[in-house]
Amino acid sequence: MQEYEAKASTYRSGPVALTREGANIKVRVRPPMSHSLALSRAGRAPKKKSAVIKKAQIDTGATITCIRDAIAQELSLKKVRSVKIYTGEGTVKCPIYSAELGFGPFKFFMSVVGIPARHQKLDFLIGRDLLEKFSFLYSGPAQEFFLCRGDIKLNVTVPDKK
Amino acid sequence: MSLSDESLDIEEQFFADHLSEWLAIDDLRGKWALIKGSELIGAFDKYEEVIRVAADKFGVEPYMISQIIPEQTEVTTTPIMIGLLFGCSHAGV
Repeated sequence: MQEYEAKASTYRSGPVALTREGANIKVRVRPPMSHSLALSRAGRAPKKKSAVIKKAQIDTGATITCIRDAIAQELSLKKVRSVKIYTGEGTVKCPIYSAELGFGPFKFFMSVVGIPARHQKLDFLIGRDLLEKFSFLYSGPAQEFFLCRGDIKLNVTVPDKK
Repeated sequence: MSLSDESLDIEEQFFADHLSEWLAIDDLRGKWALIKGSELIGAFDKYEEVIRVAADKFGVEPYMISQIIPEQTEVTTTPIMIGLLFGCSHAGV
């Protein structure tokens, strides 16, 4: 447990403006290793980066986890299907990618929806499909929040950036 | 063509056409389907497993992965993501 708390301290903040920014965590995003190997075998290395770390907003109102599409393409994530999304501007057909997501000691293989830049304000949004793997504790008075899984209680509040 | 531009129209139509049928089969319901063209290659318990098999078998060729679950008529996110509330209608995201 102490080991995990030590790792968690990397993400721990002092006073954090949860009220202003909501619950954010840093997420490491990259293609699953199997896809990276397939790219290598095909002589198609990722376009620019093999992994990125992005600030992600936790959104209990979102069904699914989303990524800015440009980031998914930068990482050469593999499209595994698509989904139609309705916006005020009409229907947008968005790709769904396979990705490996990591934060703290956790690592997950997930589908994430790529949202076109003109429709997206954030780099990454964590929806309930990822949150369902955790208990999510939000302490307003303490200005911090935790993701709990098994006996791991991870304080993952991102340091406040002004 | 980038990987995100790949068309999966055939696979997605095949999935939509067979979803009801597959949902009625205990051995398929809830599993992750790997589809290539108009063929169900396999159904797997874990997402990690299906993406590994797909990459090993098909490399960077187009293929579809989707969970065999009842169609979700509404998938939502909130305005913070796109500036607009949206919903989507598509099978099992």
